[in-house]
Amino acid sequence: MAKKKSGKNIIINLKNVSKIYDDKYAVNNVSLSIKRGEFVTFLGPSGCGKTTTLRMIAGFEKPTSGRIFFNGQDITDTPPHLRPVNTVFQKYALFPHLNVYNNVAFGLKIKKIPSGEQYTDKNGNTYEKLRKLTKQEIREKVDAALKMVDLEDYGHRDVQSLSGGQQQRVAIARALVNEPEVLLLDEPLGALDLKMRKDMQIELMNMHKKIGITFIYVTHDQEEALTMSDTIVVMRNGVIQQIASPEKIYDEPANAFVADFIGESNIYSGVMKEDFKVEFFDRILECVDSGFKRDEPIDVIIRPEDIYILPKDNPAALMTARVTDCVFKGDHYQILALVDGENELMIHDTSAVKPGEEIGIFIKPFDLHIMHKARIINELTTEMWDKGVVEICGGRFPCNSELEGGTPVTVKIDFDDVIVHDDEDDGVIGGTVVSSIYKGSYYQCVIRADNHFDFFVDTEDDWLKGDRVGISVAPEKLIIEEIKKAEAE
Amino acid sequence: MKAKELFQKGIGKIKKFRLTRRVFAYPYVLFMLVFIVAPLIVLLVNAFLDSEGNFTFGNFATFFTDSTSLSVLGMSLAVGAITTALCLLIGYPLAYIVSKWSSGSVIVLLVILPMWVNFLIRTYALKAIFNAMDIRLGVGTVIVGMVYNFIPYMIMPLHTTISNIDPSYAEAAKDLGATPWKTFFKTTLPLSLPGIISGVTMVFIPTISAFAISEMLSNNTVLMFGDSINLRFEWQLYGVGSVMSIVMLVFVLILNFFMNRANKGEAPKGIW
Repeated sequence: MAKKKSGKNIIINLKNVSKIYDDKYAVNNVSLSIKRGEFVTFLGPSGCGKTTTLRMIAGFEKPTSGRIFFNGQDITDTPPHLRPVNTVFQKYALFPHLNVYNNVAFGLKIKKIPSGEQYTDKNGNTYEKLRKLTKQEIREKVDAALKMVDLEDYGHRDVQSLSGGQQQRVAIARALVNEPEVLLLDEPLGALDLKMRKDMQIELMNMHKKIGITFIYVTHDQEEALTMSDTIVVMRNGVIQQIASPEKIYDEPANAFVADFIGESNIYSGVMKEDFKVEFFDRILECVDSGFKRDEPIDVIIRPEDIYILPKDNPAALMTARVTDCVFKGDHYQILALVDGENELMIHDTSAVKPGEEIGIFIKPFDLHIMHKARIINELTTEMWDKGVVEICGGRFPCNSELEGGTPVTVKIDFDDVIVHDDEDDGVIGGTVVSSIYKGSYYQCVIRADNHFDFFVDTEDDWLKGDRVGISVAPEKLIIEEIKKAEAE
Repeated sequence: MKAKELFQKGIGKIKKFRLTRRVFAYPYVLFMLVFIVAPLIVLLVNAFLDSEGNFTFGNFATFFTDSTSLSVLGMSLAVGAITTALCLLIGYPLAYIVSKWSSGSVIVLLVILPMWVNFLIRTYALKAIFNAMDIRLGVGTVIVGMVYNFIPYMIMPLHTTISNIDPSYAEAAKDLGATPWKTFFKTTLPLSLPGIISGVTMVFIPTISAFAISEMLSNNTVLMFGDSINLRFEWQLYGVGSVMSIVMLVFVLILNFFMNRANKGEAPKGIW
C-alpha cells in the first residue's frame, strides 16, 4: 500500500506513521502520498483513525512514530501555527466572541508578509523585513472570502446568530482566506441536514476546482466520499485498507470490509478451486481471478446491481432463486431472493418481480470479486490454567485437554464454534461487537475481547455494533495444541 | 340563592387551591421576606431616625462630612482593588494550568480545602506566622490576609469557565497561525471573561465589606469599611451605621451593574 514516490508532484507524504493512545493503536503504520491539487478523502467508520491522521497533518497530534513530510520537508515536529495548512473543524470552532468579519480576519491579522525592504544583521546576513497586512488589505481579502461563500453582507453578524450552513461557510472562508496550500476538512458537513449537505458537497467541489489547492477531507459517509474525491483512503482500526479512485474502490474493493463499507454488497464465503474457477453456493462458477492457492477459502463479493434477472428457464441462467421481497427504492427495485432456500441474494433491478416468483440468475465472471479471507480460523497462543481448563483472554474456558496448568499452548476455534451471548455475564469472557457483515445465510461478526484480541464469529444473528456481548465455546470445540519448548525457543 | 352562590364560590376557591409548582415557592418567599427584605427595611428606616426616634437627615450629614469615615471607605476600596488584582494575577495562571491537567479538579479541591476551616482561625494562624517571622502588621499584612482568604472565590469560577472552553477554539487559533501566546490572548482570555467577572465580583465585594481580618492582621491600625460599620453598631450609632451599610450596598449594586454589562448579560457557566 505504501507507494514510494518522489518528485514535485507530492505535497504531503506520511511515512510509517503510528499514533498510540493508552497502549492502543489509533493509527497503525500509515504510509501515503498526497498529490498537489488532489481531493483526498479519508473514509472509515468512527474510531478508524481518520480524524487522528488528519490531526497529525494539522499538527495537533504528534505521531508516536513515523514522519510527516510537506513538500519534501520533515514537518513532524513543526507546531501547527507554522504549518501551511488550514483546517475546517467538525463543529466549526468559530470564535464566539468575534463577529463573522473578525473570525475570517483572524488569520490575516496575525500573518506577516515580506515587505520588500531588506536589512542586514550584525553577522552580515541579509533578510527581508516582514510587515503586517494593512487594514485595507485585510478588508479586501476578507470581503473576497465572504463573497466566495455567498456571505457578503454578514460581516457584522454574530456567529451564533447564523444557521449551521452559514457557520459552515464562515469556517471555510476563515480557512481559505489564508491561502493555505492544503485545506483540511474534518467531517465538515456532519452537522448539516441532507439537502444542505448535498448543496455544500457541490459547492466544495466547485471551490476545489476553482482554487486548485489540495483538499484533505475526512468523512464516514461513503456516498460523500464517492461523490467528491479524486482519491479515497479507506481506513479501519487505524490501518489503511485501500487507496484508490472512487470508481476503483467501488468496483474493485480490496477486501470484504471495503466492499461492505462502500455501497451495498453481497458477500459470501467460497473456495477457489483453481485459477478462474470459484466455488460458492455449492456451485462452481467461472471468474477472472487467478493466483490463489488451490482450495483456498475466499470471500466472493457481488454488487447487487451486477446481478441480472433472467426467466428461470433461460439457458444462460447460472442458478435459480425464489424472490422473497421486492421494494421500490426510487430509482430501482431492491429484490431479495433465496438460492436453494438458504443463501440470500440482494439484487438491484429496474423492473419489479413478484415475491414467490422463481427467477434465473446471471452474473458476469468479471463481476465476481474474489478476496483473500482476513482469517480462516481464530488462533491464539496462551497457557493452560489447569487440567481441563485453558485461559483465553483472561477467562477460564473448560476444555478436553489433559495438559498441566502453565503449559504454553495454541488454541484454535472455528468461526461457527464461538457462542455469542446476549448477556455479557452468560459468557466466559466479555467483548464488544466491532463489525457484523451479512454473508447471504449468516452473519460474520468480529467481537473484540477486552485484551483487544478479535474473535471472528459466524452467527445466525445480526449483533449490533458497539454492543457488549458474552463469549463462550463448547469444551469439545476448543482445538488445543501444546507448544513444544524447542519450538517456542 | 345568595347563600348558594356564596357556597359555590367557596367550593370554587377550595377547588382552585392545588399543589402547583407555585406553592413550593412560598417557603422561600417567606424566608426572603423575613431575612432579606425586612432587615433592609429596618436598615432604611434606621438611616432616617436619630437616637430619639425622630425623622432626620442628620445621619447622612454625619457620615458624608466625617473625613475619617470617608478615608476608611477610600482605604477599603483601595485594599479591595489591590486584593482583587492580586487574586486574579495569582489565581488565573493557577486555574489555567490546572484546567489543562486531568487531575486538575483534585488540585482545585486542595485550594478550596482551607475554606472549610473557619476564617477567624485561619486569620489567627496567619497572624501567628507574621509575628513569628517578625513582620510588622499593617496594610501589607492585611492585603496578604485578604488574598489568602478570598483567593478560592477567584479560582473556582475561573477554573469552571476555563475548563469549559472548548479546546477546538485554541486549536483553530493555532491553525490560523497564532503562536501559543497569541492563542491565549486572542481566544482563551476573552472566552474566560465571564469567569474573570464573577471572580472579581466574588472577591472585591466581600473584601471591602470584610471585617475582623483587617483588625486582627493590623493590630487595629487599618480599618476596613466593614469594621467601621461594625464599630458604629457597637457604639449604638444605629443611624450612622445604617447609612454606611446603605452606601456599601449602593457600591455593590453599582459594581454588579457594570459587571453584568461587561458580561453582555451572558451568564457565566457552571455553579458560580
